[in-house]
Amino acid sequence: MKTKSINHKKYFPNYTEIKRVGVLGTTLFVSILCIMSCKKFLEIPPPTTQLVTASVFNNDAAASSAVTDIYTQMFKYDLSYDMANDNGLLADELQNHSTASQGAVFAYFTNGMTNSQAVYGDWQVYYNYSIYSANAVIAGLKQYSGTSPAVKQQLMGEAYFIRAFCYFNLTNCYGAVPLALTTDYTINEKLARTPRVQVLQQVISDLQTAQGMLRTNYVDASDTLTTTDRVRPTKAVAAALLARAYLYLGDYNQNNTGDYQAAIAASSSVISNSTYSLCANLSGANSVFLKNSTEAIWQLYTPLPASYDTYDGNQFVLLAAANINQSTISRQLLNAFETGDKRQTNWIGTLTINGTTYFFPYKYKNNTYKGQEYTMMLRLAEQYLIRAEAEAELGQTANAVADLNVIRNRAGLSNYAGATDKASLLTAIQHERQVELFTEWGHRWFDLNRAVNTASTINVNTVLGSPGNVCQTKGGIWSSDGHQQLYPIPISDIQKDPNLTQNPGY
Amino acid sequence: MQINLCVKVAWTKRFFTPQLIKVMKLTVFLIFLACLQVSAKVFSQITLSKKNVPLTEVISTIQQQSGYSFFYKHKLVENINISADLHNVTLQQALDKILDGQPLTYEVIDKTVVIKEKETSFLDKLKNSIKAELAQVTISGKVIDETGQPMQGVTVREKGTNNVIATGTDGKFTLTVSSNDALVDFTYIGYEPKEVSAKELPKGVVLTLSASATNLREVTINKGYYTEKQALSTGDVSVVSAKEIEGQPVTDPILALEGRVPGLLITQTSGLPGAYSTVRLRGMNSIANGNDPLYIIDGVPFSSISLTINAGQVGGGSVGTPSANNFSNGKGLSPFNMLNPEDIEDIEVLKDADATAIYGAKGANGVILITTKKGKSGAVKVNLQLSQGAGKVTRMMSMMNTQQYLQMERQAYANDGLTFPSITANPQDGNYSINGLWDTTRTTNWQKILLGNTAHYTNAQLSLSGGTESTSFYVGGGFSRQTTVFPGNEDDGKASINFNVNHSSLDQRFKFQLTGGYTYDDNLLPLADLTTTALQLPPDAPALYHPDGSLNWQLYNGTSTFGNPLNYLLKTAEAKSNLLTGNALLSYQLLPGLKIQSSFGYTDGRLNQSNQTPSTAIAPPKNLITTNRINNFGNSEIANWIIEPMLSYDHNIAKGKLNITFGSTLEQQTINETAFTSSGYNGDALIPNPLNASTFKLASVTNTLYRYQAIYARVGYTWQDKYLLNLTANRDGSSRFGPSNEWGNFGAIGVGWVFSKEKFAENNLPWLSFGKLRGSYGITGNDQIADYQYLSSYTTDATTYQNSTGLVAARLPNPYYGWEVDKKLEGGIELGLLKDRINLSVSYYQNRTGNQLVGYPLPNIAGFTSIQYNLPAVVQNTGTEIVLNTVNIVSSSFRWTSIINLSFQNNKLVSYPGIATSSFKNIYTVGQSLFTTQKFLGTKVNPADGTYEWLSANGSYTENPSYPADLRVSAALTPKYYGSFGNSFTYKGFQLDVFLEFRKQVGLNFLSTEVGPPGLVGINQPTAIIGNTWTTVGQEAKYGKLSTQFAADPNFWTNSSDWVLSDASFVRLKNIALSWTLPKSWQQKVQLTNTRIFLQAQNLLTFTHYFGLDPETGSGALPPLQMITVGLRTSF
Repeated sequence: MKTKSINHKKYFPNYTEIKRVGVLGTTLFVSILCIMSCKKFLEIPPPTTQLVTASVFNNDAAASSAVTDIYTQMFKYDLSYDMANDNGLLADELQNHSTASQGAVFAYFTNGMTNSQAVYGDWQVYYNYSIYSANAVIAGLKQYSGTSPAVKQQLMGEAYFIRAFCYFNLTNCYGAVPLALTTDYTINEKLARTPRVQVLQQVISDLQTAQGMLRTNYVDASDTLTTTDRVRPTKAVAAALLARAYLYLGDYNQNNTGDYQAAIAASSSVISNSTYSLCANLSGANSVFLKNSTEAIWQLYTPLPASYDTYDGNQFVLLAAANINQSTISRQLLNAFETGDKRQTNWIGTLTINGTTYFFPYKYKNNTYKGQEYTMMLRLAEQYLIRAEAEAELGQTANAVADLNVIRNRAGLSNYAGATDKASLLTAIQHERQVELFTEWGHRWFDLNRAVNTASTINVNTVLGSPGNVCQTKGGIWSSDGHQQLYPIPISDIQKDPNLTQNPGY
Repeated sequence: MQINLCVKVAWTKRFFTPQLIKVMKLTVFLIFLACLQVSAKVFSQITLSKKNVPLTEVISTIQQQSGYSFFYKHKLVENINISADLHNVTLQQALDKILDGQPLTYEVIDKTVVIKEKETSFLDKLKNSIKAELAQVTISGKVIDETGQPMQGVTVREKGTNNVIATGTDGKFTLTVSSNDALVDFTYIGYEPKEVSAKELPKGVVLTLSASATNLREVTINKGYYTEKQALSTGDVSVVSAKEIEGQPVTDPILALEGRVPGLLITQTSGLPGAYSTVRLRGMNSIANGNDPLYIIDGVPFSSISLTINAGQVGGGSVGTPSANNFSNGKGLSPFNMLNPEDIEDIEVLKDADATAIYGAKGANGVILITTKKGKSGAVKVNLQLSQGAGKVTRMMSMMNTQQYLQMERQAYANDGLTFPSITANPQDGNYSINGLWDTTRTTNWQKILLGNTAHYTNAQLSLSGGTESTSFYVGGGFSRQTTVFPGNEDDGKASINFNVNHSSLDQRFKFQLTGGYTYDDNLLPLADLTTTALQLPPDAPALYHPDGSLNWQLYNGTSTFGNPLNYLLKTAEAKSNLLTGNALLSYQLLPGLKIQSSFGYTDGRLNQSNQTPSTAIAPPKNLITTNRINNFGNSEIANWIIEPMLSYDHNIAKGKLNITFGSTLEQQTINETAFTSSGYNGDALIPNPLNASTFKLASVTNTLYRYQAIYARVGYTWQDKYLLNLTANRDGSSRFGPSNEWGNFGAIGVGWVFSKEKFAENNLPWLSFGKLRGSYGITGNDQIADYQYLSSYTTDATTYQNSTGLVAARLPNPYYGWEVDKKLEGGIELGLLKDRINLSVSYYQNRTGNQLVGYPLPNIAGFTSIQYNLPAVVQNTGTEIVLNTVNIVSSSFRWTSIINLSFQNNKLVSYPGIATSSFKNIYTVGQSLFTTQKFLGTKVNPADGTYEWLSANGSYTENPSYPADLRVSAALTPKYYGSFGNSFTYKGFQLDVFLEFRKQVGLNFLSTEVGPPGLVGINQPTAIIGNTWTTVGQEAKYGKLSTQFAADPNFWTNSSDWVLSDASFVRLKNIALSWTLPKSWQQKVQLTNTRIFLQAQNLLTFTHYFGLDPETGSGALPPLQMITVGLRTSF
């Protein structure tokens, strides 16, 4: 300001004021210059509630949190209960207590899903919260190298495993599904559907990758130290899901013997693993559905704070008359139990209110949080039944019957004494799966569907379709084209993805 | 009369062209020369006696008596009156006598007397000048406007002379007038002139000029960083004054703008006090985001974001949680409810590129400048305002009674082939309204019970202002309270205080202004809006209360069958808001014309919400579950600071004025939100203390930081107040864009031509008092998107897995998106006719926005359902805005003025490359408005079976249209045109303002808010459908076969069709304000001034054919209230 000679007296009669002006003016002017030169002003730090991706995958604990949160999301979005309840209603396991205008699950019960704005099944949960997150973990761990190798390998393995688990369930619900294997939205938003067999092959490929990376022992939050909690995938966990995937692939892949053989190999590796043994007790102490039971291969930890141990227990265990959104055991399932089957007495609860008796799934005993039960994801009994079925498919009758008997005997039943031709044996194994695995992950519904491709005489069309059969008693109409085997693809996604098509019949 | 007069004036002017006058002058000169040749001898004797008559009359008499010709310039003798008493005197004597004491002399040439100006002697001159000098008085003072702002350029003239000056920038003047008795005129176009005698003007007097009611053209408008006269503005600006705001009984000042500004469409989302209003200036520029204008209060940006927390059911206090979906109206508490309308001096709406350019990208959707009241110098003045009122819902619908309802249900069951449910067969089907569980002999008009109460309104305001010439202050405080039309006394109460201090140094170089305010609002309104319940609840629903006064749940086997809508009375839903604002402005004039200025602003808004549910408010048997006792609460804070240094330079170049402004803006905004949920209380009394909860959880934490930086320069040049040029350039940076995309360069040019100042107009168009053509073009940007969208990051998940906290991916990151670009073009004409009795302003604009920033929707397959994205689409808004102001009648006691506003607005998605393969294919259509939706069109009922049918793609009707192939573009859900018609009448002390608002539009009707078509169990229907539903084969019916089914035949697609659209045009008597100013004599007795008693009515009448509750708020929210208030305003 004062550098140029200004006629001060002309403008400022009071010279002392000039000094003040000078100070003020210079301050203001300097502040302008400062602002204009302050280029970093716009570079804002991330919000305190967020961590930038680079720092997540350059840190063991943070990277681990990004993976374990996927399990938290699975729990939060009730994946286990949804799969059990929706598929149980679609099949002949569960009874619904709503009418059309009331219950959201009514459409499942009457096999009346339509091509509407309603989203049927857990499409969003699988794609939004699990598959994307798993792909993001894979991409993050590949891009950043700050994690220790052991941790990185375990987490990478888990991510592949999660992806496989999701696609396995998705393809069994929706048939051919888009296979998103990256986080790149420009690719994902235009994906077309991949046929079921190829999806299953991808599932198997992911599981093999996972198997190669995962640890043998169950790890805690450090990703390396062993813990008793069976809540994180291991090599055996991958093998168990692999066994199931191979069995399904065999059925959908024109009864490919190689797939059945692979299923036998995978399930055998789990059955022979000394970590696992069938629980003698079906309820009470040391029983199957308690947390970390000897039969548990993989369970979901109950994320804390929690208001229930498992959502299955919270929803299925009845304390009062069933409301419109609750499901109880169907007459068909009750009738399926042989006399003396301990599973009927231990795993089905009864409640009589105003003279009406409700039968409800009682595998999980706790309606509220007690810290005793974990959500069962994979368990040993299924591995015996997988192996029995694969053996039956391959004509290894004796082995099949032996494996079947392991499960029957545990339930207090005598050895299988029926016919041992392939069809009879497959039908017997299918029945055993019905009473052993009911209201777990929709096994019954998937079994009925894939039985269309096997020698079993009981499949979805014969059970639900023929006149006077289950679908009609539920108040629905089974379409002769059998399109109700598959869920409709959500309309909102069809509208956004130009290459996504609807399932036929919807 | 007026017109005749004007024609006459025009005629006179036309005949006396300069040429003609020149010819006349020449003739006179020649005659004069001829006369000089004539010599004269004076013999005649003159006798006359006149008293105080014009000199010309005397001359004429002398001429007749003497026979001499007289020759004189008329100008010299006019206005001279003389008295003369002459008896037989000579011509010379006579002339000497009559011209004595006059500044005239004469010469006799032959028989002609020439009267001419007297040449004063030097001595006389000296004498006169000393005399005049001694009589001269110097007056000085200052002229301010009604707001206390100094007025520059006021003409100060000694009456009848050329002695004139204009006031300076500080409003000051000094003028030396001839004598103490001289009259001084103060004139300024658009203001009522003042005439004061010099002796009444003591040194340092402060004069206030008041604006003449009709013409706001001369109003100085504030464009934030510079000011200019409306007449000389190249931009498009509308001003709403305090007068217009205070005539309306509203607690949210934004509502006072409704219908008053062309191009500004304000839509209330609900009639609840504090409800959010959607504000759109000139349509919708951005497909997905950021269509809110920029709000500036006294130079400090004010966030239009509702602070209401959108997480964990914390409770919006009154109007629920804000919608995260940008396609629908935002909800939550209106942030503007925190402003006190009484503190507002005016609101300016800046519309085109030129007016908003200096705000850079932030002004892309227009700028709304709110100026609060400022201190005025003078004796301390106290203003007091008290008012009290009552409100009712504007409209109700005629709904079925129990008999009609049951009849409808019976028909629906019969149509569905189902048995009508009975209490024994289906005890728990939720068919309580028809199966006998509820008393079917009852009929209740639920609208009357739930919405039919009276809302009370109380408002009290007090302000003080005063000060010296160099320091002045204003302090205003107020309290207002409004209840609802729902049962109970839930209310929204607000208290506020506002202050302002102005100081300027004695030499006027240094100026300092400090403005601040604090508002506290306690909103206890119920969590839920009862409107939908009032419409849908079956008429046979049980009584609300038991005889003992407790809530009736109509139990059956211990279970509630009735979700009693009054449960909110037992819950606590509270939203407490605090708003603190402060702004300091320092300026110094460094050199003449060169000013340096810095402005510092800070705003801090806080909202505390809580929502408590005791067991008594829960329907049995769930009331026994302790986890249903909840206390959810949260708080949010928005803090904003801004620093704006500026340098401005004013200089006169040639015949023009140049203004250069150069400055910078630095702004930061932080938003923090925390929400908690707690449940599991063992008793209702324990609920207020969260420590008693068995489960206590942090539900959400949000914090965002936004920074904005800009450098701007403006050059304004005005040549002879005729040719106007305004250039603005900006460089803006925003933290909402990823690294390397933060900065954008924008600018605007505005030109204006005041053609009424051209000679041709002045000479030929006398009826034209003002005429201006203006135009502007500018490019600006838009960054109104969420923060951090470019950032690839993870968010903490509050739950733990294996005792370790989770991290979840926050979004699909996109580091590449940049500024949305708006190109705005505008042209306008402003006319003032017949001395500004008629003022017309017409503007046309075309705004094109490209590089659209959208949350681009993705299929779930992509992991997230949207990503921030620059879409290569162009949205165009065009429109015409017309304002006509007229002064219809002015007389000394009566005055009638009118204003008509009319806005036409047209929105169009001009281009969208690849829309067919994009996710917007079923939402938007190229060539159509963004306000359209895709629906099945042509809803009709098939006479054969009563099902609904729609037009399919091949033109035939089908009851099962193909989705999405048969979707077609619906009507645009935005007004085709809208506007208002206001009339103001003043008669002596009375003033009456009548304001009508109108809109021509299509909207969502009542059917859209229903959960389904008529017949669904448990949902009442309007009586309008009775007799209009299909019953027999071959019947042409308006509504299809009644059915209890929704997601099935015949109703499956109804909600996706134009069945839910209907005409929602309306004309509303928005406001009537009647006031009576007490006679001065009465007021003086009690030493009061400006005492007025007023009666105001808002939304008094609504004329519409709308099928639903209210055409503005739709049918799912409480309609605007009809509010009538009475009050008193006074000063002392």
